[in-house]
Amino acid sequence: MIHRPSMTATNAETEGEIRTLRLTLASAGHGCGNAEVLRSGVVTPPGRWFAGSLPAIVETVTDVPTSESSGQHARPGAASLPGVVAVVVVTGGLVREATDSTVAETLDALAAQDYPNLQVLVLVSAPPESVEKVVDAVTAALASTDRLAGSPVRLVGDGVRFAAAASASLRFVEGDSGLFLFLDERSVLEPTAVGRLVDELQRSNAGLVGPKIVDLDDPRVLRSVGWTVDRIGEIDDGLEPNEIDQEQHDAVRDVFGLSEIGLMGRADLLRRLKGFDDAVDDDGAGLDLCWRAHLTGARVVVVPSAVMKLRAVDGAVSPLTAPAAASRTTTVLALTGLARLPLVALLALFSVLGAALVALIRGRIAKALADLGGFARALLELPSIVRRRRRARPLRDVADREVADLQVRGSVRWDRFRRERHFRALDEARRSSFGTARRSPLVTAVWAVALVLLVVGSRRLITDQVRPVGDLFPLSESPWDGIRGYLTGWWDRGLGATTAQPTGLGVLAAAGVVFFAQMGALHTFGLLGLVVLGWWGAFRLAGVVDDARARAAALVVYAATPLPYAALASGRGGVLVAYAVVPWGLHIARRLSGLGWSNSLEPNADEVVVHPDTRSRLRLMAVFVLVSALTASISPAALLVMLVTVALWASGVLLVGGRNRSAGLALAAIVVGLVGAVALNLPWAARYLSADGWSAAVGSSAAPIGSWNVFRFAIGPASLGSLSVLAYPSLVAVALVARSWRRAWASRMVLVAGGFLALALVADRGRSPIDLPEVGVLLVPVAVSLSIGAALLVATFLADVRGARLGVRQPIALVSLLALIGSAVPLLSAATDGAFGQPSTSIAEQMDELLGATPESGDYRVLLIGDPELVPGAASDFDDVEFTLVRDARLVVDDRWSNPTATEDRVMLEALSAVRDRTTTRAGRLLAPLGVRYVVIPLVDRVRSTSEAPRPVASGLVEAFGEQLDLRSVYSPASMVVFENTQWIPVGAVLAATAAEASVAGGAASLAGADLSGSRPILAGASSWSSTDDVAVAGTVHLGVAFDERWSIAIDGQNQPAGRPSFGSVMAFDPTPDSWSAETGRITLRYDTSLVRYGWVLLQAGLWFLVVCVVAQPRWLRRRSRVSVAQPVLSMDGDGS
Amino acid sequence: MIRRIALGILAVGAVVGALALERRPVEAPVFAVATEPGTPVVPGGDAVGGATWYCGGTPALGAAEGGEYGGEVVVTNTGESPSTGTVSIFSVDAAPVRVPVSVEPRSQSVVDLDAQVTGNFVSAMVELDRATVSVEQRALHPAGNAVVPCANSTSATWFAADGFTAEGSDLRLLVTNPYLSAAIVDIGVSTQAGPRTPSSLQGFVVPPQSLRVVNLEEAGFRDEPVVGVQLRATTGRVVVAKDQHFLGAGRLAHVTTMAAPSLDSQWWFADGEKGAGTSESLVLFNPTESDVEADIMVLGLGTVPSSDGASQVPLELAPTTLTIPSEEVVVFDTAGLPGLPDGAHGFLVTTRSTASLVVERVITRPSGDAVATSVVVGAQPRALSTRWIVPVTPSVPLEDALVVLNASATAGTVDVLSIGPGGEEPLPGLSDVPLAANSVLSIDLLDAVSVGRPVIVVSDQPIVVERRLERSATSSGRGGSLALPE
Repeated sequence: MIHRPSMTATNAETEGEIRTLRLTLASAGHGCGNAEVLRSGVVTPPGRWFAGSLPAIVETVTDVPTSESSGQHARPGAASLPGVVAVVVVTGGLVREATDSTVAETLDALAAQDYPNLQVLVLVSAPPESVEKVVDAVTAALASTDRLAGSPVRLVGDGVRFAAAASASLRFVEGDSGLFLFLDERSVLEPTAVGRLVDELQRSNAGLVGPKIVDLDDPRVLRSVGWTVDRIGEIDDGLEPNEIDQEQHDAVRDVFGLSEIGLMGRADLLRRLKGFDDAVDDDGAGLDLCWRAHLTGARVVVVPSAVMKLRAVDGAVSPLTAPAAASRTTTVLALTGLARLPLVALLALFSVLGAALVALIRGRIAKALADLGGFARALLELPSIVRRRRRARPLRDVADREVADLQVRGSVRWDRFRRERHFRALDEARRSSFGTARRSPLVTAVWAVALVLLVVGSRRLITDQVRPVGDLFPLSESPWDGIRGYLTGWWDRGLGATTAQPTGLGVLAAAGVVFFAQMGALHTFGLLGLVVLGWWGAFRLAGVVDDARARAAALVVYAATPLPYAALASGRGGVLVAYAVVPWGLHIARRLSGLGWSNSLEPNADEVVVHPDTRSRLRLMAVFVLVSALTASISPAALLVMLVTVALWASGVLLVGGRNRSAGLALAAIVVGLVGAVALNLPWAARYLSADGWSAAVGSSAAPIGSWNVFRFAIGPASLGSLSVLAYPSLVAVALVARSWRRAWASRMVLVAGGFLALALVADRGRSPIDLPEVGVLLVPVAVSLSIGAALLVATFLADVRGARLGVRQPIALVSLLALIGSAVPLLSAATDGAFGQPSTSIAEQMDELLGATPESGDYRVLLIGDPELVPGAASDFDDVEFTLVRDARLVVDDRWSNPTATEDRVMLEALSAVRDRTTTRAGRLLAPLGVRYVVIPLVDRVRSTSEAPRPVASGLVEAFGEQLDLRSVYSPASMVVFENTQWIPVGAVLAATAAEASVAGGAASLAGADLSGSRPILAGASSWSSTDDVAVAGTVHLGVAFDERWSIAIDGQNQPAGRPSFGSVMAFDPTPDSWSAETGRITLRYDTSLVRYGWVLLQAGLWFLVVCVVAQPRWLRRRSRVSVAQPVLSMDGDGS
Repeated sequence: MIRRIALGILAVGAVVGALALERRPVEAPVFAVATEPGTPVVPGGDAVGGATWYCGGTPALGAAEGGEYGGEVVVTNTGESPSTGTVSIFSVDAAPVRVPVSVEPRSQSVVDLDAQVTGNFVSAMVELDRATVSVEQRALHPAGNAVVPCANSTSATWFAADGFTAEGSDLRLLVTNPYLSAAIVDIGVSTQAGPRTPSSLQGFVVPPQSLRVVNLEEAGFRDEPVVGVQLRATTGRVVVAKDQHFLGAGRLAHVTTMAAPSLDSQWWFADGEKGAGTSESLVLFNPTESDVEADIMVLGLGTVPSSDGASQVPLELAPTTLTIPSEEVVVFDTAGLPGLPDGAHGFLVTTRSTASLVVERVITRPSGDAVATSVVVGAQPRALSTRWIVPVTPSVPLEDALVVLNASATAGTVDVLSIGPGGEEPLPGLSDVPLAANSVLSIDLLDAVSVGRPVIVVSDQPIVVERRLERSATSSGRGGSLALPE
């Protein structure tokens, strides 16, 4: 959109040399529509350049400010020196709160350069909300110096990275004979820097030169003097942490790489290299550029006499970030010569694995994950790497061996490690990639202890796998089966149906592929991983307190909560999911809200509010949606609790010391998260929009455990769990004695804890007017609140209590701190059992062992009916009991979800009602067409119901089934009562004559009167995703699934008439008599998947992919942020050459 | 500050409020309301699986020198739709034999058991697709036939108050397990010497779908005038009947009765008689672990002139209270009741405690030169109904064929209907027959349309109906049995 403001008479009269500007974007096509034209404005002559009121700019229409006309004042002697164009990329996001001063400092430093032939081009890439401010600052700063007045300023749009903007400058500037110098608003050059860089570049005949970079805040501290690089791209800056500059690195020398900030290069070289590579992240852009320069034979030299100060942003310790592992790896793979590439790639792989292992051992999980993730990401970007190699091919003027000679032999990582050992004490508090995490020996130790305790505590689970207790069902044996089953649209649950399948099935199948089909390992480590994920989330959330001890306390308290261990013991997957995601949900919402970015421990410091820029907000929102969707796919109840937690917290922000905008952003996240979760889980999510959707979403309620157990999180076995109540005083104490932002945070967490405690108590007392998630899930936000309370207590102790005048604060804080220590004891006790109290065997295992299928007997189902606490998985209500149909007596992950069809509902309710009302003694016959071979009534699961304290069996349940004449008691363990249905018909069968007759008649009465025995099993193990065949004798072919026209059979390759409804509930095929040869035939069963289903899956996968892309923001998406340049605005040939 | 306080109050208030909520009482989960088995009833209604009847057992040797030792199942369809089903005949050693059965509307079908399976005893299970069909068994024996309604359900407990092995009388328990799993039962016996639990009768296995006969004489209870039996299945459920052949000590006859599947606090008897040569006794068995006091109330004694002679007032006797020791049997001879007049009467035996008794009535009436003994288990309170079906009626015109007891304290009327091809037809002279409060009414079935046909007795008051059936074509005397409430 382009505005062409008309010049007003007033302006024309008052400003004299007014030039009309067109305000538009210099960038296009990158989707930053919100960075449109701000408003029209005018350019005033030097000295009157925007008094701060008119912001924007940006592209001149009539008079391109070349060096002649730009107003920049050339110094004497400039003509004899090469022209240098200093490209300053300004982003409001880099130095958020201090843009004015930093930009001014940068530009002032340029204006102060003693190098005469210097021009400045400012490129502004700022989010729309801050672009006005940034442009104001830039224009004001330019106007304040005579030398730079009239320098062109270009608005390149929001989200354009430094490297992309810098590359664009090659097109903004004409001429090949000069030099480019790339800076950003953090850079402050010493007055002699440009001149020394030019001198050395000419003297050394270098292609690229770079200054010595020091810290702006403390110029004694060195930040970069160039990089050496080894064969696998590991970088060494040769500096110790916070190394003081004592001129020890002041020799001019060749280096392999330079930081992209402060880098000066020959224009002709840069144009040949086409500037920075768009496919490379900012942090790796310098390395990539230098490497490509080496390919051309150009020298890369560091000029220590040229000094540039660099400002750290957002509280970072160092202003420079080394290229991330992914950037380095992709650069190595893209630029290493073909002959050396296989060996180098292999070395890189081993290096990454080794480094990750070492990082793990050292407790630096984030680093290990970053290493592994970086390598994995590099592999995912193979197409991009191939394109980069293609682009690099014409640059290879020197042999790859010569470039390799410039690299360091051996391992830079090892050298650095050895060096760091001597300076570990100085290497404190480096920021993690997430911005707020500070490593400290205490944090490392706490993490190490916690992880060791988890490993020790779960040793039997790791060796023997997690028992299928409660709803912790084993995953399907093969992820491919899961994926194929998901694709077909036939869900083999209950009676089976062509219906939406839970997205969780697809997610778990995909996870299985990532786990190399080791589904047992995925099951065990996935569940244990949820625990660690929860710890990590709480640790990250506690980052609101900028102190390692506080965060360690938060981690300890959250880890010591008995919830996850009791959940593992009693098989409550929903609790584990909630435990993992609720802290993350709150953490993401907090980041979105901008609150508590890193709150200082200064006693009177206000809460820090840093709103993320548009891109970060978009990414955070996408992360929130992704977390919500993943959570909903496994446990909708956990999602509900997570969203309500955020809502309560946001309410707390509104009420106590927050900003409305922050609360609004958090509330917006809830809406977006919920909508996103529903959208990403469609069509399955429609299940939760049905009449019983709410009940299905929140799941079965658990048996009451009593108020005391609610308070102490005792939803299952939790030895010494009572000590966990000692964490409550810390939260209350903080709310009472803390000051400033700590009090505000404590109040918010009190609201969360109080709200969810109340909900848990109401749920436990059975007094809720609506169904609520089980108590364990409701208690997770309480645990999170206590965890943050612990962090706040430590912060309060450090900031408000320690050193303060003696008063009531000291004893309260001290006692609470002591209590906090006691609350950690349950973590120790949880580790003693080795399996967190999981029973040595479970109902699911016993069922499998006792009733497991054999191919000869055919497929069948088990009717599992009994106490809602004891019937695993999602089950249907029937008065006071619940029931579910289990295929082949094997409970698998599918059984977590249920969406019974109307037919299944009707048939099951009819049969069970007849049993309940004692209007039949032939329940076996009523259930036979469904393939129900066994009826299992669980009595004791050894966790929720033990032999010492059994749950009461619903009265009349065993008796009613015991009265059935066609059910036979099966010898079974004391934990269950098992009846075998002697009338059962295999799911796939050729019906006996009487059964075939009854199948036509339909109706319960005729069914009860017919002898259905004698059917022959066929097609055992049939599935919807593969054509199954079997030899069968002539007769009516029975298929014990809900009638569906998509099923068809063929006999000896000859298609048979479509199936018909059978027994009023399932389906049967009546092959034509001439289909059978010699009374037998090879029967083939097929299921035809609808194209609509494939469409749905594609759409769903597309949506997930889209969200993942927004989260990951891969380069191929970001590449669109390219700056379009209509015409050059500067020429370096004019003066310089 | 105010906001912070408000927020704190909000949070704490929510928790305190939740704590203040009263806990919803934890109710024991219920799948099916326990319908304790008892006096068989015709369920009626639209049962999914129709109805299943369990017939306790009959002799099945067939014709022999002394007469026929056989059994029949009489299937009576009082409904308007035909019914089909299966009769499964269980015997001691053979696999069950299944016989299809069908019965037209408003008619009867008889299945001759010993024609299907021969053995000392057989029992039967009848599955029908209609709940309006009732089933009785008729045991054929040279010493007299016995008709008894089959049971509606199996049970894990069975009780028999009257056992008698004096002077060589036979007493057999017929235990049927109609299920596909073996049942294991413990049998306890109470005699005059007290309760006993013979080891041979503990853990007694009844194989699936079979009949087991327990001869109590052979089990060590020979020549016992009092034998109370309690059977408890530790595994499975069974059906229990008694086969008694009285051979002396004041009793003569062959009687087959169902044991009672449950204890109760009330037992009703419509038929009773005091007269010359007639002996009547109530046999009360308390299988519980506590002593029980039982009141015996005699009903239907008719009226006597009032003291002023101006009107007739009901004759009432004061209840007789007995103490029934734990696990003991008390035989109460009604002749000892002071003031009991000759003639018909009914009984109500009640306890002052919970269900703890089973009561049978034994009447030995003169029969030609001899006597004939009948044994009837009383009707339990839930059997009191305004409509009773009498599937098996005398095959010859008989006086006092039906005895009706008004179980209420309100006078009412009685209609007797015959079920024939045309439906329910009132019997001549048997409509709106007055029935005084707590009175007993004897009904003759003399009309041809009532002989051999099922009849229905309908009243506007809850009643109990008993039958006095001929023992056989060749045997004199009457047998007795309850009709079937609907």
